[in-house]
Amino acid sequence: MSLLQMKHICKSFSGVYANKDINLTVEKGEIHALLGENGAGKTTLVNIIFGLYTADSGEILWKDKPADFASPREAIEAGVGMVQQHFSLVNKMTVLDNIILNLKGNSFFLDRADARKKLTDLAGKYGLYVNPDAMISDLSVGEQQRVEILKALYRNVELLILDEPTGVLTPQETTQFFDVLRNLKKEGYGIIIITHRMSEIMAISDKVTILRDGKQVADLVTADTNPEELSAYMIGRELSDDYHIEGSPKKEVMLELKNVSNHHRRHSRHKLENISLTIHKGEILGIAGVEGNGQKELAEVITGIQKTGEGEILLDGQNLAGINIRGRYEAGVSYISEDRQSDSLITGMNITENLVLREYRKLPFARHSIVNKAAIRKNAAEKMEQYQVRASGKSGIDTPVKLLSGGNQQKLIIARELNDNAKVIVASQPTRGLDIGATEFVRQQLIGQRNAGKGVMLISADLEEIMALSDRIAVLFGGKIVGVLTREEATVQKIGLLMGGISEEEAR
Amino acid sequence: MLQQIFSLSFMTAFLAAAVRLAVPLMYGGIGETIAEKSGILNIGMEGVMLSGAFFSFAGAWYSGNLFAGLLCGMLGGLVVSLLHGLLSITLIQNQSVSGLAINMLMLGVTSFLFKLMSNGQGYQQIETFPNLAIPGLSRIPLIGDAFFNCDFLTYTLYVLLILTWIFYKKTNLGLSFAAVGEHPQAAESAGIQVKKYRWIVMVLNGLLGGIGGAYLVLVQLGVFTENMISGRGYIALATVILGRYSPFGMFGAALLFGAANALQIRLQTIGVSISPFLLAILPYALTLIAMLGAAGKNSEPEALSKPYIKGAR
Repeated sequence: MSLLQMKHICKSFSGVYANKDINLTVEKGEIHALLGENGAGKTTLVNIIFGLYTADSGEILWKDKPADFASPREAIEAGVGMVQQHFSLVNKMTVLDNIILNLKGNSFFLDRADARKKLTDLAGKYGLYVNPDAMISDLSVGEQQRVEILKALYRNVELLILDEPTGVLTPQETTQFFDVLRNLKKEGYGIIIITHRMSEIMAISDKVTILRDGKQVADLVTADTNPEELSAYMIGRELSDDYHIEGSPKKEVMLELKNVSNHHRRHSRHKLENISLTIHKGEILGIAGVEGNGQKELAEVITGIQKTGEGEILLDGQNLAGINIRGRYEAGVSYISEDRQSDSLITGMNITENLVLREYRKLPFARHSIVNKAAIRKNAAEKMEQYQVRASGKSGIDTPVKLLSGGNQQKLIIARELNDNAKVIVASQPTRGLDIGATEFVRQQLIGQRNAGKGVMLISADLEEIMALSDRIAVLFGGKIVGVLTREEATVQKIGLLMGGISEEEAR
Repeated sequence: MLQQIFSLSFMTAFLAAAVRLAVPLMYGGIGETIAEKSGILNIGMEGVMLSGAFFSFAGAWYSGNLFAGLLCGMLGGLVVSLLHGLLSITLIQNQSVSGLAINMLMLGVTSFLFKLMSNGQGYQQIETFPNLAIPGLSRIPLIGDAFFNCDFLTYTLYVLLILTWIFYKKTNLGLSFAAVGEHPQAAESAGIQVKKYRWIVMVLNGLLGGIGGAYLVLVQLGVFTENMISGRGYIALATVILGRYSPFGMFGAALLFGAANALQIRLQTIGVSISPFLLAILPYALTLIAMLGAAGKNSEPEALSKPYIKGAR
């Protein structure tokens, strides 16, 4: 008897297929990986299982009986649990309260003592340790994930769906997490794990289903495959892993941070402490770290969005203190922000307008406060051509930015920010959510800037990206730089320990 | 004059007045607490209370029965809250805009209906609910008269406050209702029907807010006048925030406001040489100062006044 069978599942959103004729079978005690690029339809598929979406057509069998869960409630009651990419935890409640929230077996008055005991037993059995009385908002992301899994186990699920569970974990936490999964597998749980990391699939899964553009392109037994085959299926072509990094950085310093802290606001949870970094001319400095350890603050302090508390920032010898965002841009600080839709673009405006957001006041785009439309349009047409921005439809340069794909939006930002005037490019998660083609393009552009003698700060949660592109790698943890490694010194192991807050000395 | 103020009889009467002035706020406040804990901000509380006041008067006037009046007042409040529910839960409109619109609408509607009903002439007062002294407790000096020589609606309120507190602290359902206001997506994936729960809190919001308005008519004044809530709905909103979304916190905040109001009335009657207009500001100024003191300590439900669309992030 199979735990779950999905047959010929189709689902489309406003005419575009997210899933087309997908078949998936999961057995008890099996770890089944779903592999695919962003937008390949993985999350849509599991949302259908979990009752968040309804399939347009196709059949779902749960333990050989037809099942079509209309809501998560029905799915949970049947025995399907899901840990979503964005956790579903109530910040202002305790771990225990989150876990017993709306349980079917709850009496009218909650028996928290009994629940605490049951939870502690369960946590001990699978090595998912977490304090039942801690507030969720006080927990690390890794701990929150444990709570999510405990929540599902507490509800006696038999199938556990994990959507990109390792994206927020350090390599060491990931190893621990995989031990937990192996325990669960031994106990007979079925597990569906979504990921785009080949190494993890090889390490943990029994079978792999690969999706591309909403279609199922392969079903493989993990033991009989290899990462190259997987990526070939996932991407549909071979990947070139070569980046043309010329020579070594120059001696001259382009950007220097001396003991910088951010102006710590009462409500912001993250603060930077005593950051000292240098970026040389012609150098890419990678900033590694688990997300939420001060990456955004660091980028914003340099670009002037957040105020600097103490310390000073020198750009090519010029002190940036007291210079506002526009001033810093004009001095040569360019910014590719991690949230391109809210921090870099005005999505309701069109391509021409977004391309001149930084320079609309200046010649040739404006003279005496009167905008020169022709110049702006000419600029847009040139930049679109040069940076291969594709707008579907007939509007061309008049297309609203919100109608562009993520990759084309990012190209637009790059077209605007990477200009002759730029000295330092702060690139925060520049390839997040992009398909392979766009990712390549962005990386090549950053390397191009480096080779042209500019300084690049590459902030990324993707360790492979950091290691492939950076001349040196600094690791951010809890708002502090806990280590700086050269390209030669850096290994995944070393960086992973630093990302978990273990210092270089302790790591040795 | 100070002697006058610090005499036992003055203080006793002052406290009694404070409680009496606070009770309508507390009914509005408890209804609003329940709604906001599940994520619905009803700025239209002013309109809910006004509707409660008018319909309780009309009900009591035509039926000659105070309980019938109370029931009409509750239903009057209910209809207004359901309108807000329709706009904010089903039609996913901006809750602040909806609430403000409701306040303006109800001011017009109740004034218009009252004109129709009274034909332009004034009304006589109706009877009001009598005070029921609780034997023993009401004899306690100073506070006995204030808290235990009241009408039955005040006693009902005490019970409601305790039940609400127990509900959110100790019960399974209470946890679910709070989760709906903190993180509706999480609640939904725990199998809680967010919209249904929000409709339930809007029903309670309307019934309780309706009592708050009715209290002014059926206990205190015995008569309806245009715009008689005159800002109490907004003060009720403030007591919820000041009370940090807990029933007893709200109780304390409302009492503070009632006391400030009672004090300024008393100061006016004993002829303190401060302009009565300045004195009238006292309760509002005090509320503002208290709010400043509570600033930064964020206990607001995270999903408060955010529209919930199932499946959306």
